[in-house]
Amino acid sequence: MTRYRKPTDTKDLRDQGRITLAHGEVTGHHHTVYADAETDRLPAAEFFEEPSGRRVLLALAPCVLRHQEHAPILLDPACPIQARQGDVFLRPIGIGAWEVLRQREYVAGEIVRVAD
Amino acid sequence: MSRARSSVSRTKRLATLTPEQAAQLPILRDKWLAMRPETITVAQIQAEANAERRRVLLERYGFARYLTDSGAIPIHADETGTLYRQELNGDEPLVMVRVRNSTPEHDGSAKEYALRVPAEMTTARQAVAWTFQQAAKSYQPVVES
Repeated sequence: MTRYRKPTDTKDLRDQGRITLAHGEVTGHHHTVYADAETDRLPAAEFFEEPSGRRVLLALAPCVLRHQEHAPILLDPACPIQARQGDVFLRPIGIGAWEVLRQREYVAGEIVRVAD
Repeated sequence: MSRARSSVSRTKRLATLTPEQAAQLPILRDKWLAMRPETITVAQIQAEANAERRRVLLERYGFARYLTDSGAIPIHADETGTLYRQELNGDEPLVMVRVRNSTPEHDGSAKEYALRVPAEMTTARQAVAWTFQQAAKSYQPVVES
């Protein structure tokens, strides 16, 4: 796997270091990245939007994706794999880097994001 | 104040109508459906000639519920889910993929949900991959929860 090259002019999507990949508008549940599976320690990772609009999770150390209704998923930057947690899909794009994609739905002529 | 009272009064009057009475009043029919979606039936949806109105009826009824209640036949199934297709007169077909959460509920059951996908989808994998902006071949999650 190739090394990911972070472009300039990215938009930081972290909230005081907290990385929430997706937030349920209906349930209030969220897909959030932590340093481990037990504590709420912030991960050694970045979450940003490229100028193209692509959202990227860049992990510098192993971290865990957690959600209230789904089992946690370990994210190893040395070996990024395709992972899906509910309506969030992570597609590896380089060492330690994943494109973050939200599930979408087709609605008669338009496409909308799924609201959990 | 009087306008608010009048509006409440109209709402109460509307709520007391039977579905048959509401159907006799074209102006009220859409309001009735918006307020009382539980009165919508599969037969009513299938008989609706106006595609836009039928779309609203379907949305209010619930796509997944409609698939079940109308006896839609699955056209493909694999490990990612089940794909259904239902032809609609004068409109694009209703194609939906029913998927199951990988993480079981506390009682051991698996929550299911259905998502509408473009009509050209022919396999469940293609449909689920589409929901994540992926081609069927490239959608290969190693871990799912």
